[in-house]
Order: sequence, then C-alpha cells, then structure tokens
Amino acid sequence: MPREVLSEDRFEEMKRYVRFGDDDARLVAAFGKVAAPSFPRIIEEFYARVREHEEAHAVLTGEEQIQRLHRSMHRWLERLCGGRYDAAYFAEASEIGRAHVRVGLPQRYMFTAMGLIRTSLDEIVDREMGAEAARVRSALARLLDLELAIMLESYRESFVARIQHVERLEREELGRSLARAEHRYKSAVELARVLIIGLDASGRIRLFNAEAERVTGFGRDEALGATLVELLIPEESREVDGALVERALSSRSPEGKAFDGTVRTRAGHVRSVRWQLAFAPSDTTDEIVLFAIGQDTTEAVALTERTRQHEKLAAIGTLAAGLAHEIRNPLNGAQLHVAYLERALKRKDVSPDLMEAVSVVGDEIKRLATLVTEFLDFARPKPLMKRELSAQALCERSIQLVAAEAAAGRVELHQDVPAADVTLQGDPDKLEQVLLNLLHNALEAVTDGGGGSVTVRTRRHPRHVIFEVEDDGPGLSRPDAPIFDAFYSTKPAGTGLGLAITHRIVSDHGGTIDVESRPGRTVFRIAIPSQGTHTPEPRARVERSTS
Amino acid sequence: MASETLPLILVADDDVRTARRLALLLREDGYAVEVVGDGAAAIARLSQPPPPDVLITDMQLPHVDGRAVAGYARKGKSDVFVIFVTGYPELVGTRPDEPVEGWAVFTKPLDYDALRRELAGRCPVKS
Repeated sequence: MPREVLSEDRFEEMKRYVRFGDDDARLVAAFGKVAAPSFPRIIEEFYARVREHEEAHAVLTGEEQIQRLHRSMHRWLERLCGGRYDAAYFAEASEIGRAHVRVGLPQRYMFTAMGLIRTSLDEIVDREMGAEAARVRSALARLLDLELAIMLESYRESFVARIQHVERLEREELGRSLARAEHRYKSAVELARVLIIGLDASGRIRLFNAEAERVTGFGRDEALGATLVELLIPEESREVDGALVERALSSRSPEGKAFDGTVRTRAGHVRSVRWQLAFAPSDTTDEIVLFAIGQDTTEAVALTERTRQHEKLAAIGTLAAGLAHEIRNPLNGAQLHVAYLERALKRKDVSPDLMEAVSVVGDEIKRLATLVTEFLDFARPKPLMKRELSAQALCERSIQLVAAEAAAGRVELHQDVPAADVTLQGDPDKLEQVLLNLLHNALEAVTDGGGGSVTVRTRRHPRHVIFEVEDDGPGLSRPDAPIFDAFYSTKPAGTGLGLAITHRIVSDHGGTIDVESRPGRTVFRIAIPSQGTHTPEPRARVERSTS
Repeated sequence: MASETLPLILVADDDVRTARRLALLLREDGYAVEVVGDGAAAIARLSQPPPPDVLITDMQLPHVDGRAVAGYARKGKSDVFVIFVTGYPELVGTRPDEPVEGWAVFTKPLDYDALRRELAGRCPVKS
C-alpha cells in the first residue's frame, strides 16, 4: 500500500523554504497559458532524446506506451503550469515519482530529464515573458526543484522499503536457521542413545538428556542444578571417577579422555558407564563448559563377564575331564593289584581285619571310579538320542531295576500311571538314568528310616509329560540346600553328582525339575515337553517349595 | 594237559606291572597268557604263530595304538576276540570302519570278575 511519501505539511514547509508563494504560482500559471501551445513540441523533443539513449530507452516497452507517456507528460506539464500547488498537486507528483520507481528509471535520468524540460521551458520564458522573464524563470526553477524533491522521496521510500524487506527476509532466514539448528541439536541430544550431561564451571548439571534420565532414573528437574559427582557418582568411586571430572573441569583441557566408571541410579543400583569428557570453552560462567558423554555398558560388561566365566568353566571342564580320564589309568593298576591281593589272602586264610582292610581299599577304588564316570557324564554329556517312547514303559523298567534294592530295604514300590498310553520324545537311556537316580535317592531316604513306600508316577499335561518320584521318608534336611549343584552331597558315600546329572539331563530335554519336601513326603517332579524341542531351550529352572 | 590246548590271551599294555598282575590272575584261571608292553611289540608278536584267541589291549599304546593292533590281530585270525580296556570307552566304536562285532570294551579300572565272566562266555577254559 503506497504511503504518503511526503506529508502535505512538509510540502507546504518546503514551499516556504524555497519561498514559492502565491505570486510565483500566478507567474507560472500565466506562463503556462503562453507556453501551452509549445508543450507537444517539448514532449516530442524530450522523447526523441530518450530514444537516443540506450539505458533510458530500455524502460520503454513500445510505441503504444510512448503515446501514453506523451499524454501523461502533457498532463504533467499542464499541471506543472496550472497555478494550483495544493494537496492534489502533491499527490499527483508523488504518484509520478512512484511510477518512475516502479519502472525502474534510474534517478540520474530523472534529473537530466528534468534538466531538458527546464531548458525547453526557459527558452519559451526568455522568448515570451519579456520583463517578467527573470521572475518566471526563478519560480519555475524552484517549482521544478520541488517536483524533483517529491519524486526523490518516492525513491528514498522505495529504497527504505526494499532494505526493510531484505532485512526482514534475512531476519526470517536467520530465525529459521536458528530454529532449525536448535531443532537439530536438540533432537541429536535427546534422541541419542548416550547419556549427555552438561556441566558448568562449578560442576553443576545444566543439561541432562533423555538417555541420562532413562539410565539414572533421575528426572531432569532433579538433576539440573545438582553437582554431577554428588548426584551420580557412587561414594566408593568418587575418589577416582570424581577426581577425573574435577580435573577435567579445572584443567580446562579440550582433550576428551574416556574412562570406565559407574553411576548410582535413583533406585540405588550401580550401572557401568563408559564416559567421555569433552571440554567446551566458554566465557560466561553459567554456561556449560564440560560435557560428560556416557554409554551404559552394564549389559555389555555383564555379558563379557558371563562369557569370560563361561569360557573359564569350559576350560576348567576340559582340563578336569582330561584329568578324570587319566585318573582311570592308576585306578586300573590299583584295582587289579587289589583283586590279586584279595584272592591271595583268601587262600592264606588271614584274619578278618586284614580281609576287611583290603576290601575297603577295593571299595574305595570302585567309588573313585564311579565318581570319575559320573563326573565325565556331567562334564561331557553324550548328545541325546531322542526317540518316541512310552512314559509307562519307562516307569515300569525303572521299578524293575530297583525292585531288589527296595525289597532289601523293606520298601514298598508303587507305580501310579494312567491307563491311556503317554508318549514323549526323549533319550530313553538318559531318562531311565534320571528315574533311577531319583529312585535310588528315595529308597536310601526311606531305608534309613527303617522302611516305607516309594511311588513312581506319570501324568499327561497339555504340553508336558510329568514324572514324579515320591517317598514318605524324613524329607530334605535343609529345604534351601543346593541339592542340584555338583558335588553337593549329604550322603557319606555320595559323589554329589547324581542330582546334578539328573538336572542336566532334564535341562537338555528342555524340561524342568523341582522338589517339594517336608517330613513324611518328598516329591521330585520332572516336566518334559511332550513334543520335544527342535532348538535347544534355556537351561531348566530349579524351583523348590516346601510345605 | 598240553599248553597249546589252553586258550591263548595276548595282553598289550604299557603299564607292565599291571599287565603282569593281570596275566597272573588269568593264568590262575586257566589261560595261557603272553604280555607285550607296546603296540610295536604286539604287532611283532602277532606276526608269528600261534595267533592268540583273545587280545586284551589298551587303546593308547606307544608306537602303534590298540585299534591298529586289534586290526592286525584280526587279519591273522579272523575270529580273534578283542577286549579293549580303556579310560576313554566313549571313543571306541566311533569310527565307521570299526568292526564292533567281536569286540568288548571295559572301562578302567578293570573289574576282574566282570572280565572273567566275559571270557568264560566267549572262550571257556576246558577242564
């Protein structure tokens, strides 16, 4: 919207300044009447000059426009010499100025053009105005200057507007790029899966990103303003990790040094974090000067530890298995010599004490041999040879195998199996070993108490086949004892491997084993997936409950 | 009774003292027994007559292992009964070319009574 380039008041003021009064207006008007017949000629000459000049000509678009310009210039000359220099005059002059601005006419042409017109008019003044010529020329000169002044204001206004427009565009662009930069950095900081904590020169937290909140459990509102060391570094690590942060703050070194540290979470847990400290120099004191960038390595550290532990165990297992095998050689020698000794002593009819001593040595060698075999079974199990098998048949066979032992210990054996066939996928030899282990344990427990009963049970569950071995013995002495751990044994002659092997076989079948024990009733319960597993399942969970 | 009527057992074991003790027990039980201390000596013995009826051998032997000794014995006498006494029973019979037929595997330490029962079934002593 075009603004008034020059207020009318200022126009009046300018007229006063150049002392263009009513007399001048009358003089110019009188001159106008005389000069009017010459206007077409003046215009003709003027545009002839314009056409001669390339740059000035460039603003013209064609003959039609030139005719239009002829007419408007004619109007202008009439107005110029019309004798009325009021608001309407001013408005028209302004409009012409704006038109010049619009078509992009350079200011210098406006001046020179005005000079041409002045010369043409002066010629007429000199020729026609006689005694008044000097005064008319003076009035015309001031009037044309006013005209120029008004039009120049249009240019000035246009420049100001353009500069303002450019400035606005630049400001907007700057704002946009600032917003973009802020958005980018904010997103980078917030979306990064690393802890980013910014500290000011006093070590107080000024920036605490989303990952920092997630890992530490502290909200931004709690963290901001607190010191990093006090909020996050566990007391036991302050001496080392805290000192590193303090040193980074005081040394003002831009060098980022990485170190493995810990943070204490809101809940009091300690997590492993690999920190990188980066110093960002700043002149203002409350600005962030140190970035602590951390990666939560808790899981990775734990995994590494587990892997190391696993490898260590595997290495120990290999070593132990090798040792176990080699133990069999000296045992072989010892056992054959004992066999020879027993036979020789029997013939000599020696004292029972001597016979007993030799047979104890023989028994101990056998026990050691059993331990070696069970250990190797446990440490280096043979792969499962699975096939479809009947749960009932498995129970029946196990019971037959321990029938003699049960009879000797005055133990009643019961079999509790459903009438319908229960089948499962499994290694029959291994599962038989499991049931035999549990049956031996149950028989021993009951026999020690002077007899009782032992039941073997199987049941079909939707996805599992359940086996139970139940006895009415005294129960486990300690319900929380690690009975499934290798080498845990309460029996004087036990190897401590029976239940560990049992647990392992069940696990290898993808099953679970648990025990429920109280005096008078102990039940070991095994659940084996009935369809078998194609992929190895996680190791069995050991669950126990006492009632 | 002429010695050639007794079943002949060749014991191959680098633990010579134990091998001799085993030989004593076996002789008491009516067998003719020869002892060799390594695989090469076993092959040397097997290359001469008479071939043993039974070969009792360790799997791990110096120079030539028990498996090769057993194979050589079988060439000399196709129905030779081979008894492996080993600390690694799980390794016996794992090769596809092993003729498990006519073999027995005993885990160390050797249970002499069990061995005697096995021999009695396969190779009874004529009395």
